[in-house]
Amino acid sequence: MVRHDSLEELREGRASSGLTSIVFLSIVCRHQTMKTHRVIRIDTASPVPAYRQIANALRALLVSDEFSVGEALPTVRQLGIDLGVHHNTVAEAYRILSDEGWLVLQRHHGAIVQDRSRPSPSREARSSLLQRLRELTAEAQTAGLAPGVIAETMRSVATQLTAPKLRKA
Amino acid sequence: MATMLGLIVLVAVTSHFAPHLSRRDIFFGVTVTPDFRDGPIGRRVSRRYAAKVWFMAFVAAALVVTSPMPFVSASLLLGQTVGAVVAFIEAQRSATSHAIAPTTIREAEIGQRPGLPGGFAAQVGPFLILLVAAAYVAWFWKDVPARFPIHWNLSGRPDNWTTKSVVSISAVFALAFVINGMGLFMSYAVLHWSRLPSVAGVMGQQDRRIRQVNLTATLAMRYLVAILFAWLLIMPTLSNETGQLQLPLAFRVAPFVLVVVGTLVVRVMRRTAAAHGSNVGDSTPDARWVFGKLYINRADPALFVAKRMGLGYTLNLGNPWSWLVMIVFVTGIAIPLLLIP
Repeated sequence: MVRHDSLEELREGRASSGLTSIVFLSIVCRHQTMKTHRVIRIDTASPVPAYRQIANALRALLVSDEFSVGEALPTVRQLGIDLGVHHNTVAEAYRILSDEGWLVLQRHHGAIVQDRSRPSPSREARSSLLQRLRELTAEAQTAGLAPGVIAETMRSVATQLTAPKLRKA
Repeated sequence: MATMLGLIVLVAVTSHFAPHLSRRDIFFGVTVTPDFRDGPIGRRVSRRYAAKVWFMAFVAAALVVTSPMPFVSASLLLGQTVGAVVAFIEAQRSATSHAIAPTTIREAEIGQRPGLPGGFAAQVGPFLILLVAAAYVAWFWKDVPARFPIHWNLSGRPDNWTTKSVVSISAVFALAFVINGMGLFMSYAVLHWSRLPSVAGVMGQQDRRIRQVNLTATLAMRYLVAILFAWLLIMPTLSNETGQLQLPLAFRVAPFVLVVVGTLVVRVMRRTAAAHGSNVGDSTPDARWVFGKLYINRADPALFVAKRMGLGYTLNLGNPWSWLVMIVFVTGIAIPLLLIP
């Protein structure tokens, strides 16, 4: 069997098996989605667990105001079938987003998007972000991306993902 | 003889086109690069397969034309079809050494699912036709003849009859309702318990359209079944020659027309769609397909998956619910058949 793909795709930023991360998934989601076609993607070969990838991809949509407050997300079984993963994997992703305040999980109504005002950032949040960015940058450089490209990509993603209501806040 | 020759040609044409209905990156049930099909090896495998299919059609036609012995036509067609399947499996073996790993990317669209074709009214229509037919038969019960045909041969002549009784006529109606219920269930399941191989981009659009073609063909087949059963039960009350009631040509031709039209539509869609994107494969691993026909994957939660042939869906036999579905389907068909004397 010939392995199709991936180093070239990594360099071109089209896919990421080793680099699947918040930034990549966010870019994909932003570019692939509109109000009518909101698409999430996961990579089953990625070292990042599937539940984490699902949570990251959905978070990117939530931050971008792609959902209206009160909207129900697909059931865990439905999203599990669409992505070819076990429903408990999706349930774990929903739990993460619920803990972050994006979703309310109701027994008979599923996962409902809730209004989430931006909390004031704590010192721990900043240091955690710094740590994750360091790791991510190291991964990107290992994959052959130039520092300038990484910085520009991060700036672009940060601008795109900042929802209008959060900018105002 | 002409009907038989026509059917032999039909089997040969559908077998010939079968490998060309699949995605460009699925070749005889094997995941390959999108341009493999048009390469020298792909063309050679396709040519060999087509030569075998048409050779078998030629042999079958020669038997029909020259044999002085009467033969069972259905067996001949079955033999031709089995031969085509064997040729397919041989072509698949040739392609396997050129297989590539399918994409590991999975996509999902977040939003409301599209509805079934035609909406609620169109989906309920076949059941209404059967209910109206049942009401008619009940109202004109005294006009129902003591014996009437329930099966016809390929030339439209009746070859099996049943007698008038509440049980036999109820069983015929039950069979029609079960077949229609199965069609409706499968359509719902395809929309909700299967996934599109691609969601985004041109490939996603193509996969959505082909799913729509499949669902529309299923709906058309359900209407055909409902009208056929309604005709089967109403016509004996109106005809004087109930024992030798001929099956109209339209009923005999319609299923084949439906298959040919569906095949051509999908063929045109596949041919006109260029290969886009780097996501190769249909989101199912080659190793989980048996002869490119049966899908058995316990790790896949989907109940139905798109057939690798490109037209229609098949059960994921690795999903425990699929066995329940099969048991219900087989039982639902077998009970009415056993009740019809």
